[in-house]
Amino acid sequence: MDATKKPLRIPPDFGVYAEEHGIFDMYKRLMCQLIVDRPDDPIQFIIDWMKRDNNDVSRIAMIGPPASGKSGISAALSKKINSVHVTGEGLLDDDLSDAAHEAKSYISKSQPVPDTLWVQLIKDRLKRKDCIRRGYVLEGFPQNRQQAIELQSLGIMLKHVVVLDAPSTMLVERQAGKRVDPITGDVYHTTFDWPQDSTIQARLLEPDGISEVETRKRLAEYSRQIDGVLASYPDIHMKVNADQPKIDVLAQVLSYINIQQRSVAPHTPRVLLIGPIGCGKSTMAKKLAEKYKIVDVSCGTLIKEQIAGEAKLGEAVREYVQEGTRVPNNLVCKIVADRLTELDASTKGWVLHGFPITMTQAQGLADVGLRPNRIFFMDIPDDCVIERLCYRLTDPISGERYHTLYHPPRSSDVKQRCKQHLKDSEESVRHYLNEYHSYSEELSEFYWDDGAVRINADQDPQTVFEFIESILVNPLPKKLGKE
Amino acid sequence: MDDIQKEEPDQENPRESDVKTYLERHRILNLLDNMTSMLIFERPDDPRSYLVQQLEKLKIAKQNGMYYPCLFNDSNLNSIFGMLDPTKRGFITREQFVEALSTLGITDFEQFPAGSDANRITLGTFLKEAKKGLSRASATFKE
Repeated sequence: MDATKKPLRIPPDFGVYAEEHGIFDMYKRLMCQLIVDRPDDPIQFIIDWMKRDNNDVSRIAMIGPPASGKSGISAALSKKINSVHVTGEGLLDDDLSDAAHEAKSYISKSQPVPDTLWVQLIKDRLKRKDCIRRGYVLEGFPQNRQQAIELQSLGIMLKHVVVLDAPSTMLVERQAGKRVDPITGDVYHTTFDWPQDSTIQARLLEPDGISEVETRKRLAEYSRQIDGVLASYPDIHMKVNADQPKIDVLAQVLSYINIQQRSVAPHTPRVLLIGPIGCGKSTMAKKLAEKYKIVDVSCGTLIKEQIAGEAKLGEAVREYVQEGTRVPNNLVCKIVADRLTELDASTKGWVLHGFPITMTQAQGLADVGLRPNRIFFMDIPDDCVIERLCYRLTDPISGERYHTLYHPPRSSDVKQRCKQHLKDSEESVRHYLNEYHSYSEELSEFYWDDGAVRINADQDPQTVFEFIESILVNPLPKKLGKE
Repeated sequence: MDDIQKEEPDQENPRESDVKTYLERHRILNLLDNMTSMLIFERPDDPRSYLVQQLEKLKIAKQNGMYYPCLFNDSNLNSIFGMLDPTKRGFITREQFVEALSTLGITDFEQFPAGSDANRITLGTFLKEAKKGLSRASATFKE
């Protein structure tokens, strides 16, 4: 009953659970909607929102100048990620919608369709079940800043905006070769994308408005609007060079939409650093802990603490350490798990290093519900480790540390009295290295599906740190459109 | 959720204070807290439909003014009382009563319920006060 007697523990599985189901991110989106709409009956509003909200799907806008290949790429993309392909023509084709009729009457009078009407059409379409369930690729919209702002104020939040970009001379040339199949509506090109089937070849028509003058006019209009549109989506758009084979463009777009945007929802990093002795695990862990206020959990230090603290487990561990043998798996696992489930570690996150060393230990950690969400394998050649560790010297009088290559003692006196730590002998280091290599393969296999990342640790510490950071702060990429 | 509550705005702008009053009036942060506790406890396979179920219950409770969705039921309360009264004397001290209710997460409750003069609080009083407090804590909507 008393908080000091039995410390409060959040079950470690909850962190994993919350992450798997995107709970905090869901709360963040829910709060946004509540604050924007401020409904009078929030409970009903949340119920409706929960039923409707689906963050697993893509919400993409694909924009680009005429003849940049928007429709081709959008069609291929929506097929690949199984989303709904929403086009301007598709919006107008809806016979049941009054707005579509109104829009068509503008077009038949060759007047421009007002922005509000377009936005209305888009909103109606995107609110339909298939778009909510499967996500969408909105092709060619928003056309201008006004439309972008209206879409945003209606609560239509795009996740990714892809901008196809190409030099205008190339676009004009490309536009001139455009051919349309009147039956299916597919777009072909005389030089780049000519159909194999001779029956299709025969029925292809030259679409209206592909002359150079008209194309230039539309290009100019597009260039006037594009900056305004992109200003509405400052963080979520990416330009893709459209002057490449279609398959390359598609690959780039796919890799972009798999990137998840950073969110302000709380995120507890659970980092695991695996690497041989001397690769810089502790250095990185210390830096990470300092910068991200997460708990630095070093297995070696934990064991020493246990022994010094004369805790029950410490007594059990002491003998093994004194004899210099490995502490049994179940004991280490218990010690590490206890530390990782403490309140500070489960709320702020942790960075663990020095454990697990074998697959059995990794399995033991997973069995108690502790799953890291960022795993790094720090690769370094053995020779570099030997160079880093075996040339270290300590001056027994001043306590100063030296390194024969990187930081040699100044005077010969000091050099004379410098001593090497027993653990830094080449024999001992090689022993640890061999031990690491014999298990690293199985560990890497064990963690591969969880998205483990390999780093070259034989670099400047700051470089290695920045690389780790870049993976730590961004959400892991999704696996859309991949087998 | 604590972070959201703790965060102090650098300068209060009218929109921000509007939002704050809105959130407080409808007890939205308490609602989210309760939703999170339920999730931590149950860890359902489909958190969305689970939360929708709970919210539907809350909606009905709001209309009827009773049966608020709550993690603790009568048997939990009975066993808490049983733990505090291992010798089955049939009553607990006021101190135990206060401690038990705060442990249940109830913030506002009758500090001196019936029987506190004699320092003997019976199971009936305990259940009544605990249930009253729990429904108040679960009634996360505008009163």
